[in-house]
Order: sequence, then C-alpha cells, then structure tokens
Amino acid sequence: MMAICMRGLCIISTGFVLMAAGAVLAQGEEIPDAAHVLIQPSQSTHLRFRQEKHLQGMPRPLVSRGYLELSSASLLWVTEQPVEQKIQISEQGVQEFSGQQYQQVEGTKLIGQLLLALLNRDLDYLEQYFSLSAKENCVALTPLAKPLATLYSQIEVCGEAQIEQVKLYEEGGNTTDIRLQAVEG
Amino acid sequence: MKSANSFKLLLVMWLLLIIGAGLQLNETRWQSSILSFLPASDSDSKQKHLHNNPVNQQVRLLLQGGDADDYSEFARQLWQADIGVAWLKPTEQAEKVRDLYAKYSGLIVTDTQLSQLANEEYESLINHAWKELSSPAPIVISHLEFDPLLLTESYVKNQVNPFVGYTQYGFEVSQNPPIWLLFGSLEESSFDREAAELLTHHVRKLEHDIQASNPDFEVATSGIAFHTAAAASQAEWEVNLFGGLSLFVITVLIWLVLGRFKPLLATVGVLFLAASSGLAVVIICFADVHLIALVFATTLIGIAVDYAIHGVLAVSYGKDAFKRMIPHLRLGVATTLLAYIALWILPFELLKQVAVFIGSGLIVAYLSVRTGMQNMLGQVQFNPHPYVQKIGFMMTDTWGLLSRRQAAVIIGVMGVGAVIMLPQLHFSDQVVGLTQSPAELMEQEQNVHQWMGATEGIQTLWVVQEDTSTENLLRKQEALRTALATDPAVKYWQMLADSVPSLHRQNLVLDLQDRLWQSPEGQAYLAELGLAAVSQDRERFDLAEVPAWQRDLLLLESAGLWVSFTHIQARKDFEPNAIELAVGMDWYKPIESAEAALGDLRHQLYLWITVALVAAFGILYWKRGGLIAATGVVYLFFIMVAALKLSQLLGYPLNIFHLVAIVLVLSLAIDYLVFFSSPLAAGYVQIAVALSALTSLLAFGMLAFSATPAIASFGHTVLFGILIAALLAPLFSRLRKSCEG
Repeated sequence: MMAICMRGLCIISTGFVLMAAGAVLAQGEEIPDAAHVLIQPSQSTHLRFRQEKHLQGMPRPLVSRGYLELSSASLLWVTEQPVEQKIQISEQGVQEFSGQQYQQVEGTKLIGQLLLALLNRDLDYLEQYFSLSAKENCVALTPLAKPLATLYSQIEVCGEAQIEQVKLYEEGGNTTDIRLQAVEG
Repeated sequence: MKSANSFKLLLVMWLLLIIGAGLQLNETRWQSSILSFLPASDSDSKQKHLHNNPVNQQVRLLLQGGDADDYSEFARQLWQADIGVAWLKPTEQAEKVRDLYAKYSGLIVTDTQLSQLANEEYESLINHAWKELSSPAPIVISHLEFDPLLLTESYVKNQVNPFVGYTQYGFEVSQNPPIWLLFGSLEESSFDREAAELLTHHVRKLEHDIQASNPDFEVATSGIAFHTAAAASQAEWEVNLFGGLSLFVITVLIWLVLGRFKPLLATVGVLFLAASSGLAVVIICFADVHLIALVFATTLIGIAVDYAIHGVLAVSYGKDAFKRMIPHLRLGVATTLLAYIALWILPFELLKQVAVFIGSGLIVAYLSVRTGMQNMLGQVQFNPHPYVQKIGFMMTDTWGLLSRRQAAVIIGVMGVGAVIMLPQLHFSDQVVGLTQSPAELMEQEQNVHQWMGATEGIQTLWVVQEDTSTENLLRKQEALRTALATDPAVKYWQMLADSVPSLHRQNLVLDLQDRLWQSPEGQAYLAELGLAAVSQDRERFDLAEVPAWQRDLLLLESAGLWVSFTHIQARKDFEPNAIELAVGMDWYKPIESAEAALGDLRHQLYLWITVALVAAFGILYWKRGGLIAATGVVYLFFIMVAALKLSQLLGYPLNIFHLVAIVLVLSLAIDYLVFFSSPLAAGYVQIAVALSALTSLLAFGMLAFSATPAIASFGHTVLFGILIAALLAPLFSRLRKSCEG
C-alpha cells in the first residue's frame, strides 16, 4: 500500500517545485528582501531549459534539453534531447504524451490543484509546505514536513529578471539542476 | 435415596458447576457477531483460516469536518491510547518500502517489463529509461548502477495510487475539504467483544473531545470490530431486557394464579438453578461464547417455568398427584431434550451453544422439580385461586362439549389446511437478512468505502492458498496475477506477490537483464551512461524483509502451513471459473459459502422435523394408542405449517431460524399433547398447560422484538406456534375421553 503512494508524490513534487518558484517570487510583499528583484511572472511564458541530473553512482551528469510553456491553465514540459517526451500538467493532473494522445497518470490530481493555486499566486498554499529564505539572488525553499521532506532536502530558485535556475537537492543525494532561458517573441 | 438427599446432592453438583464456570470465566471470549458463527460449506481448516483472515482485523477511520490540526490531534491521542491496535504510520511505512525497493532495485519489475526483457524488446526499455532520466521528476527508488533501466522506479510509479497523498498519521483522501483516512489492525480478534468495545469507546471519546472545539468534526468507522461492539451492546441489552422482563412477568403471573409466596419462591428457585446451570455449562464447554446464543437462551425461562408450574400444581393436588405427574413430566423433558439434541448435532456453533445452555438448564430444572419441589413447598396443601380453577375447568368443559365427530372434523380441517399451506411456504438462505447492524454504522461503513474507491457493481472475492513454502505461494500468485491482469472484469487485486517477487522471478529478471547488457543495444546504453558493467552479484529480496504490517495483512502461518489470501475486486460479470487456479489455491466467497451451508442446514432440519414427527407418532402410539398418535401427528404438522405461514405473512422471508423455532415448537406441542392425552385431571392439566403456554409466549414473544432479524424470526414462529398449540391441545382431552369412552 505504501509503494503506491510514491508515484503521485514524485510527479506532484516536481511540478510543485517549478511552479512554486514563480508563485513565491510573484508575491513581492511576502518574499525575503534579497529576492525582490526577481521576475514578475507573466500569465504565459515560453522558456527553454537545460537539465543536468547528478545521480549517485554515475560518473557524469545526464543532460537533457527542451522547452516549457507556461499558461494560466497548464504547464507543458517538452524534452527534445536525448529523447522526445511531452508532459502536460493541468488541473486534471499529469498527462504523458504517448503516440498520438495524452494519457492521464493515475493519482496526480493534486498537481492540477497545486498548479492552479500557484498560478493564482496563492502564497498561503506554498507556505503550508515550505519555509522560505533568501540567499543572494536566490530563494531557498525548505520542505516543512514529510512526505515532501523525504524527497527534497532543499530547493533553490535563482534569477535576476526572471527564473534562471532551479536546483533540486534530493534527500538521497541526487541533484537536478535546471537552467531556464526565456524565449524572445 | 430420599428426595431430600437427592436435592442436597443436586445443590452440591450445582455449586461445583458454578465454581468450575467461575474458574473458566477469565479464559472465556465473548463474541457477538452472528456472521462469525455462521456455518460454511468449506472444510474446517479453510473456514478457520478465513475466520482468522487478517483483513478481518482491519480498522478504518474516516476523519471529516475538521482541519489537519483536528485530525493530527485525534490521531496522536488515538495512537497514544493502549487499545490493542497497530496503527499504520504512512510516512514511516513509505520510507521503509522506499528503502527496501531501493535496496533491491532492478529485481522488482512489472509483468510488462518482464515480458519485454524476455522478448528482447530492448529499444523500448531503453527509450523508456531515457524518458525517466530526462524528466524533472526525482529518481527516488532505483540505484542506477544496479538498475540502469530504472525498472523498479517504473514499477513503483505504475502502481495505482487510490489516495491523493499521505501524512504522518493517515492518508489524505481529499484536500478540499480535508478528509483523512486512518488505517489500523486490531491485535485481538475483531470478533472479540472486549477488544472491539475498547476500540469503539476510545474512538468515540476522542471524537467527542475534538467536537468540543469543532462541532463539525466527525469520525466514520469501518471494520468488523465496530459491528462486533454494536452487536455486543445490543445483545447484552436484549439479554438483560428479555431475561429480566420474562422473569418479572412470569413472577407476577404465578403470583396472580397461586397467590402464595412459597410456590412463587420455589418456581423462581427452579428458574435460577436452571439458568445459572445452563450458563455455567456453556462457559465450561465453549471457549468462545456467543452473546446472541444467550439471547436465544433467555427462552429457557419460558420452558423451565413449565416444569416448575407442573410441580407446584401437582404438589397442591397432593402427594399422589405429584407422583403421577412425574412420568409425564419426564416424557415432556425427554421430547424437548430430543429437539435440543437435534440442534446440538447441527454443524452450527451458535445453535450448539443454545442447545447446550437450554438442554442442561432443562435437566437441572427437571431434577429440581423432581427432587426439591416437595421439600421446598412442604406438606402444605394449596390450590390455585378459585377464579383460575374456574377458567381452567371452563375451557376444558368447552372442549368437552365437542362430539367425537366434531373433533375428527377439526382434525381433518387442520390436516387439509396444512397440506394446502405447505406449498405456499418459501425459504431463503440469504445471510444478509439474518443480521443487521445499526443503520448509522452501515452508513459510516458505506461512507468509508466510497472514499476508498469502492464502487457499486463490484464484488469482492478471495483466493485462499495453502502451501508448505512461501516461495511456492509467491510463484502461484504471480501466475494468478498474469491471469487476472488479462481479465477485463477484474478491477483490483491485492496479493503478497505484489510486495515481494518470488526468488524464481528475481533470478529470471537478473538473467534476462544480463542478456540485455551483452547485446549491442545494452552495451551502447551503458556506454552513454558511463557505466562499465552491471553487477549481477545481488542479494535477493526475501519475504522476511517485507514490513510486518504489509506481510501480516495477507499471510499467516497455521499448523506448519503458510496460508495466504488474495483479495480481488471484480465486476459482477466476472467468472471465477474462467481462471485456472494452481493446486493449493481455492476461490472462497464467504457469503455464498455461508448460504450454501445454511441451505444444507435447512435440509438437515427438514429431515430432523420429519424424524421428530415419526418419533412422536411412535411414542404416542406406544403410550396413548393409535388414534391419539395419528391425530397427534396431524396436530403437530398443522402447528408447524400454520406457524410458518403466519411468520411468512409478516413479510419476513422464512429462514433457518424459523425452522429452528419449529423444532422448539414441536417439542413444546408434544409436551402439551402428552399432558392433555394423559389420565391426569383435565382441569389441572388445563391450568398447567395454559400457564406454561402463557409463560412460554411471554418469554419467546419478547424475542420477536429483537433488533437482530434472526432472533426476531425465531420469536415470531415460536409465538405463533405455541399460541396455536396451546389453543388446540385440549382437543386431545376430548379425544382421550373418546378413546376411553
């Protein structure tokens, strides 16, 4: 029974973290002073990403590239290299594109709810799960309690005018470093 | 031996019995669910396994109407209470499972992955692994050096998550509004009254405490234990109410009839000796005593008082009358005991306990009357109140007005009536109608199940499996899982093999992966990851490492055998026979099994009733002659059919308990018949039988008001049966006269 809880947790946490950055940084009056200068997210954002996964026991990081599209209703995560993959996160949950259509992933409804809360800049929602602290041009999010705390020891969101980097420090020692770059036009 | 000495000996024996029961009392487990005592058509060992099915021990609590703080506070206090429940700690358990799967990553794979490995669909497996590695989701389970294809990571993510999330205390089945589900497992049997009541009491107390600050807070409960507790309080209340009221009303009745303190005291004394002996014998003979059996057993008062009344009235008519009465009383006791022996022989634990209680109570009641009545009442001659005697003689005289021809016509009408009504009787063996938990508890149960994802149109099935080795159990379950996965009617299953693969499967997975790593696709993938090779020298995942909570839910050891349960939820159109089960595996449907057993039991009772009628004919023929024997059987047959027909008219489907009632009615009716066809004074017999019938009606009639349909069914039939039997029995004083005349 416990094993079945893990999947939802993983997917939820990832979308949660990415969107958390935007929402936290959007709430100027609530975030730490040092992060004030960070982006004001728009309702629709097109970003390119470069992700490095540093996994325990692996001699070199695993790199993937692609883009993501952010709108008020959904987040589209598209990996172009090394394999093509599309993930859509919405109020209904997480959907994976397989073949010609999106397929709902069981147990991910919460992610949709979280997303809406984040896009609506519901800081109360985030503060329920993380403590926030400033570090130069970054905001550090520390999970307040399990089960999120069993996955991540800390999450760092950095940037000047917009989110430029998200670093996920996993509890098991793995690190995921996601660099974001806004696409002009 | 003089009767005074015999009575003293009886008292000594009674005292020893009470002491014996007192010593045994601490070991006695009080049960209250009728379902726990239902017979089954399966073997004793399988029935025992299913009775001990760990799923029966589950406790589920749905917390609603509050917030996370309310729920955490409730759960924290509940966990602290020492109430014999092992509560599931979701966060802790999730960490344990995660660590375990991480340790054995690469050994635990889905059936699809296994098939892909076996079919050398390497590209698909590698492509999927790349997708996982490119996803922003964390790699939580798999260690890449052991599981480069992230097989176990995918295995975990492929499990269906029925709940949104989990907290330190429970599962969060809804966020808005917040609703939590707590799981626990009762350490004692869920059918154990004390354990069930302790749990229920604490849950309700804590709910009440939280409601002091938040009146909207509610706890919906689910699990057999809560029904056991409700049934226990109901049964206890009914034992006290029916027993107390019977005793009170009977006491008043005897006082009204006899108007003397001494006979009243003697009657109550007989009842006390009989009831306490019955209870003592049951406690000594049975480790698990059923409270519902005790509710049935309150009717002992109604029968035992008959013997006391016969004794009291016979004494009042003089020593000779008492002496003449004894053989008839003995015959009555013998016929009643025969009925209870029939119940005792039936493979139904509940009825065995009723039979032992009442049977031993009746023996003690008879011996008390036989040896003690004259001692208790002394030599004082007394008669019932004149108005009672007047009523008694009036009734006898009224029946006496009947001519032999008229009596024969009445008997003939009874016979024809019975033959016409017999085909109209319809029996049902449905278990659901026999017992009924309070509506509120059923609503809570439904509420919890809805949040657990249960839907209408889904049936629950069990596969029970026995084997000497757990490896065999797991391998057979893996084969079963493959079959279940291909049946579209199967919606969900839970088996031990989902938690831990067999050693055979683990070895196969490693061999197949090794073949992959030797292939060009495998070599290329490893090179891209920067891995030189994948170690095949792995420790295997053993069942002993599965967390106890998870393991004990589906596995138990019994007499050197491992017994495992696979829980399956499937659509109603699921055809179990289409799935081939391995040797040692069997389908088990508890309700269907119980219903089949009740059907068998019903047919056994038909046989017993037929035997009882034949035996009654034989005894009556021997003692009273051919006419009384023939008409007596018609009389008994009519009472039986009419009582069942009247019970059916109340709207209840006829069930096994109606038939059990018929056995008892027949035994009492034979008593009446024996006394009315005896050469005893008709007026005395009329008073004695009328009083007996009245007291029996009071005692049994109360059962008709029981909240348990099984008991109420029994009460209705006995009520109608005794009423008809008592009204028609004086006919035999006329027939006897006719015979003699």
